[in-house]
Amino acid sequence: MRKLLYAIYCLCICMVFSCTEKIDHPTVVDALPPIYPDYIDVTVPAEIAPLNFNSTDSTASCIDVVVKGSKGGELHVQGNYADFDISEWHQLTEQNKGGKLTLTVCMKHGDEWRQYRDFTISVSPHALDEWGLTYRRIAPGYEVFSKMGLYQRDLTTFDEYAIIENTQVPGMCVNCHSACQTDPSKFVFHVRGDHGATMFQIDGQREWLKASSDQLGGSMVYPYWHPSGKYCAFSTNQTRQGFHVVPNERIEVFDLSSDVFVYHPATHELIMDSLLATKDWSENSPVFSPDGRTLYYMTCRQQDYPMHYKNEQYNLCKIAFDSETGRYGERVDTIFNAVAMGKSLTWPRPSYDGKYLLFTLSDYGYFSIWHEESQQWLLDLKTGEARELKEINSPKADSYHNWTTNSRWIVFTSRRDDGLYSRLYLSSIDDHGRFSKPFMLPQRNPQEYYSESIYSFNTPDFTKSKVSFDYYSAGEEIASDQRDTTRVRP
Amino acid sequence: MQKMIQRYGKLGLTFLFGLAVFLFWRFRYPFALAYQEQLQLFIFDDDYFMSRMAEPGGFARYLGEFLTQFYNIVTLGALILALLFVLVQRLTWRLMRSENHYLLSFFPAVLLWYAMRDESILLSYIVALLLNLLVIWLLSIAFISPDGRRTNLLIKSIAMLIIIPVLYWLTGPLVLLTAFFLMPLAIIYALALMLLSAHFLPFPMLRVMLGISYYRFPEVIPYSLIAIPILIFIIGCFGRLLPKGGRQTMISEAVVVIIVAGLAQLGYDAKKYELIEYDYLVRTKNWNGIIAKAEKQTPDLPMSVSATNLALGMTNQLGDRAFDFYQRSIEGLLPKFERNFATTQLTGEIYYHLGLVNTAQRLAFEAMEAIPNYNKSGRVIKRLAETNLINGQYQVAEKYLRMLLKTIFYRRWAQRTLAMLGNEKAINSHPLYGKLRQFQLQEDFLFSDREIDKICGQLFMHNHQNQMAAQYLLMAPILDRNIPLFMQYAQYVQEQIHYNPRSCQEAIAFAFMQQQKQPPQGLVSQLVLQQMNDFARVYGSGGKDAPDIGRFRNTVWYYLTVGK
Repeated sequence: MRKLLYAIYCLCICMVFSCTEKIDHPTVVDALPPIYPDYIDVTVPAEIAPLNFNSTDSTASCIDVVVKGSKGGELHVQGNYADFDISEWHQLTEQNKGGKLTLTVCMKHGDEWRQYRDFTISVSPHALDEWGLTYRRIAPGYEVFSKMGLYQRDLTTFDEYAIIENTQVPGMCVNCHSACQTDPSKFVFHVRGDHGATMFQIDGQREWLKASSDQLGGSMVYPYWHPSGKYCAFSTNQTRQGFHVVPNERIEVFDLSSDVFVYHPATHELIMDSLLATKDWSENSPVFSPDGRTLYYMTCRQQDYPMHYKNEQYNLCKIAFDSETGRYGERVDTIFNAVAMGKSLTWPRPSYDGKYLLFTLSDYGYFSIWHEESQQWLLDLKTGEARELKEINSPKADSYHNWTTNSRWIVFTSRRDDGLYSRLYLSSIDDHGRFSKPFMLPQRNPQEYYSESIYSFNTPDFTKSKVSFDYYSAGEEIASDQRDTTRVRP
Repeated sequence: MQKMIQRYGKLGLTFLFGLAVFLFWRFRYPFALAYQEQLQLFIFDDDYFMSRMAEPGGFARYLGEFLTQFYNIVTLGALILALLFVLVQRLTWRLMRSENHYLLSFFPAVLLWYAMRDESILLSYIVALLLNLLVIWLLSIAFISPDGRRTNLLIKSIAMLIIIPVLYWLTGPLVLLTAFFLMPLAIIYALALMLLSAHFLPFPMLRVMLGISYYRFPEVIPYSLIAIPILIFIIGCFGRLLPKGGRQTMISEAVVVIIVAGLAQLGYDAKKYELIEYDYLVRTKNWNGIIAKAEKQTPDLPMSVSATNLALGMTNQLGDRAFDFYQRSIEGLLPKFERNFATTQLTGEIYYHLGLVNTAQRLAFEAMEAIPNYNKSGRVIKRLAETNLINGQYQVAEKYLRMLLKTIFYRRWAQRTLAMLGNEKAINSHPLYGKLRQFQLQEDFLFSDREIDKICGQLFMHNHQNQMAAQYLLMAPILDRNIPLFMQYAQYVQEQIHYNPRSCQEAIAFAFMQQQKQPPQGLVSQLVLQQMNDFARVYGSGGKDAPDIGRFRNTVWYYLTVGK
């Protein structure tokens, strides 16, 4: 309904206010155009929604953009902001796959048109191979939350759809969703609040697990599917928050304890192991390797919190996993020693081709979104070498990330825009493991959208197809409090 | 004269009713209007309009919120309410289509007045009600010709098919009122639409059926809000069937209206509105107003006590006058965190003035997130802009300020503040922001509301000019009945600054008395020592129940030994 209303509104606005002028002899300015978002020299997939942009110069009353493809094709728009037609844009990007788009931008200041230096946008030869993104949208708050929910976004258009919003069940919070290698036919998320649960939707069948299990000693957190779809790894965390008193810090998250386990949906069994539930260490954020034989997770020596919160530092470990028997290996290996660097590792995410593992490094803790210094790193699983991804990092928090199934693109959250509100950025990786300049998730009117949005985007992931989820029935099921129980495998 | 009464009597009664409503909101509960306004942020913006129009009742909500923003000017707010109430009454009378029993038409408006004692009823409800009344009236004109002939069923049915869904989307479930007046089939049609829409809306069925935007809390609605349209329907349909009453009937109806209107006013919870008033006074930094109010009637709820203590602290009187008012515990200084707007926002105000900007920022954010209908708050957005400005987070501050630029009442402030962004000199020399920057802690630790005294100690150690911190630091252990700790803090504070108010002297005298010693010369005034001796004598004669103990009610000794 909102979309329809908005479309009608936009049409009216365009008819009334848009500017259309022929530009003769503009004043040439030897500078790149002041635009938002910064799409200068980025690389995009051909399927991506148009990279609309605004002028950041408030004195510019009109913007004129000509886009020429290196392999042919041309687009011309003029208006309050660069607003490309979706189908024309896609026609141009498809035609220029593997080529470049050159953008000539003119802005009107008073009666004068100024033409800025041209810039390019590369169109990657590699497809996204995904329908879109899923993410949680929530205000970057502390303990109380207002409207929030899980959403999905069609990456070829600007359309966003709610998967579930907390308005469906008052007092509810939804978090930590995961699909099996971006396939939403196997989907999981958590519900927190009075009607807490862990929701599994497998091939259209939904079941709601008790939010907290006595045997587990807590709730299921941070899910990650086994590539077979038969298992889902979780951690169980006794999470607490602390609040900083100095100006440039806000929130600290620490776990009084945490363990890792694998859940077997077919039998409702929790597969635990003493190696993954040690007393003196906190095991957290497990992920399966793309072949399903290895479980990566992070560990931290247990500290006295909140006193020694700065000593909460995690390393990356792995343990073998046999999906036939559902048994773990007998040895744990540390594969990246962040603590030795005086750092803390978090959010390990292996690429689906098995070559790399993406993670975030910060000074301490694991909730990197609240750590301005957090940076993304890439571990080459073949050589064991890791490097800081300077080409995509920023001075602000760069955090949670995920891969496309073809392992050619990543999506990650970053606070580089204003320092507080997390936005989504996409970047491609080349054959040498180098990433392209990231670009912000396109919106129809990006400046209006992002400046007015009071939400942060977090836990983003790609989705192979649109998530099919009956939120009305789900709301009733959540409110019913009927829950399945789990048991620990003997 | 008789002609005059006949001609203008009805209008006169309506005018008197409107005047009463206006005076009630303008002078009896003006703070309630400011309270309503702070629980929303009306933005002139297409996205805001679209977000409202995306749900049933959204147009009424949009109009309601548009009008609520004018509550910022209390007189205007009271005038708007008076006008809306008068319209409810006049339209009810129109529905009656009778020249008699005019007073009956006041009942729904009076019931509405009574219902409005609940501060969670939103103006959207009244707007939705009025829109429906207006449509019903217009339909009644359209469907009944001057000669009394009624429109045929087909036209009526076509009108129903169009009007009911449109009106449902604009005003919400109150469309049922229109449906009742229209035709029986319209009721089924409206109900079916409501049930159907619930499947496509991100709200539970119950909320859709009760109205998404009539009441601040989801899934509940006061019975009075259901009773009002029922009453209108009864009066509208059957009012004209009543036999024409004489003078006696009119008098009895008038008496009933006056009694009900009187009862409506009595229904207002004075305590609740007292807290709302304290909150308003804190918001407007009217410290003397708070103290004057507390002097008239001693506050006894954590929120009002902490507001009074804040006012005393801000006027540097906490140490001298805290025990002139009711004190119960350390929570009277800083209430514990609760997930609601009112107390969280107030507690945030205290931290703000203490110089704990991050905590103030957190509580402001929490307060806004706690608004049950997911609204944002102009007051909070303004505070968040301030805290981010003080913290040097200019991009975030700018974001909030740009939101406020799209409002009527915060626009000017936002423009002024935008000009300060990045201007360190201007911020540092600002009387409040500059001072709070100086007060801010530079060494990091994690906040704990169980260690308020230690945090106040850190604030005072960081900047000895922070008088609020000094006052709270010394008052916290006294209210916590921990005199040894107080003595440690007092010694430290008095080594740094000259600060020895009455409560400190009384606590010091008490500490020495416990050790059966005399305090050092000059630390406690002769008067306090004399009073202490008097208290000891009285207390020694009968303990807590000593007959004369009450005259020491405003002392630390009384609080420590007798107070609960």
